[in-house]
Amino acid sequence: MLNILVVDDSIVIRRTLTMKLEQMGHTVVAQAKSGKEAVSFYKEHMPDLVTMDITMPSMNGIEALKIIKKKYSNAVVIMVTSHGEEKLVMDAISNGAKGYILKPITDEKLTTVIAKVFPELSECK
Amino acid sequence: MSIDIENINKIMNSINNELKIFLTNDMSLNILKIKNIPEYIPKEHFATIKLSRDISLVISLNIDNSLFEVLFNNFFEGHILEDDKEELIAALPDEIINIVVGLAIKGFPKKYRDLELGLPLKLQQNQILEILNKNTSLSYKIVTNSGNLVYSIIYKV
Repeated sequence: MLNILVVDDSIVIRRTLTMKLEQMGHTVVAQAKSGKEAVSFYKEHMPDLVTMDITMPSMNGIEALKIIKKKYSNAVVIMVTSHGEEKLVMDAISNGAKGYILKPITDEKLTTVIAKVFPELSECK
Repeated sequence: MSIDIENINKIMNSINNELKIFLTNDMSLNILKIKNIPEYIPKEHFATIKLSRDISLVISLNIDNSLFEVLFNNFFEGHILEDDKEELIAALPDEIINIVVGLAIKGFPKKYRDLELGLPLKLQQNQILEILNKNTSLSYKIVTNSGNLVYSIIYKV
């Protein structure tokens, strides 16, 4: 099971993602409210996975992704978007994001994206 | 730049479709009726968001207490800390309008699909009413088996 950093400016998404991930058996090691916090918490916790909101005030998810990937090239980040904005998602993928989830977040979407990024977890079952 | 009623109706249709999907598929509710209403008054759990680029649209959504309680329980399934509750109640309408309008953009008329969705606006009831008074609006009510949701699209003609 994974240690996960959840990044979203919305408390609704932070709490729902945390609840769903923990129900799946993962551990949410920290919840960040901004890109800046994400960079700081990544260094502190070195999680296996980051779920990163794209649109956030102060530092958005793509800027935070770039900083994290530059410092920690093995970082695994999946983006969370509500916009269906292909350009932003493509920008994130080209900057090293491993996948994305379109809000609203469901158990099925989470399971699918985690299985895609960590196929060994499914194989272990 | 202004927008004509034909395109506003297409935008409304796309928002209606995403609200239907959200309420039925994601929240497991039944929609009993969707109807055009003459007036929008944000008074219970409401949120407002702006779309802009060549044109500017403001969308405001109000969820009544009965429906809000069901949506809140569906989102958090009872797994919340008491300390978080007030903040979650305040933030949930923002999250719902962000999700629904964000997803609706793909169904807008082609020339409006590049509208930029801002973060939800922190507007009070009187501020929304002022925007409504200064502009033109079109409003809808969605009646579900668990309560009602009304929303308005505010634009310049």
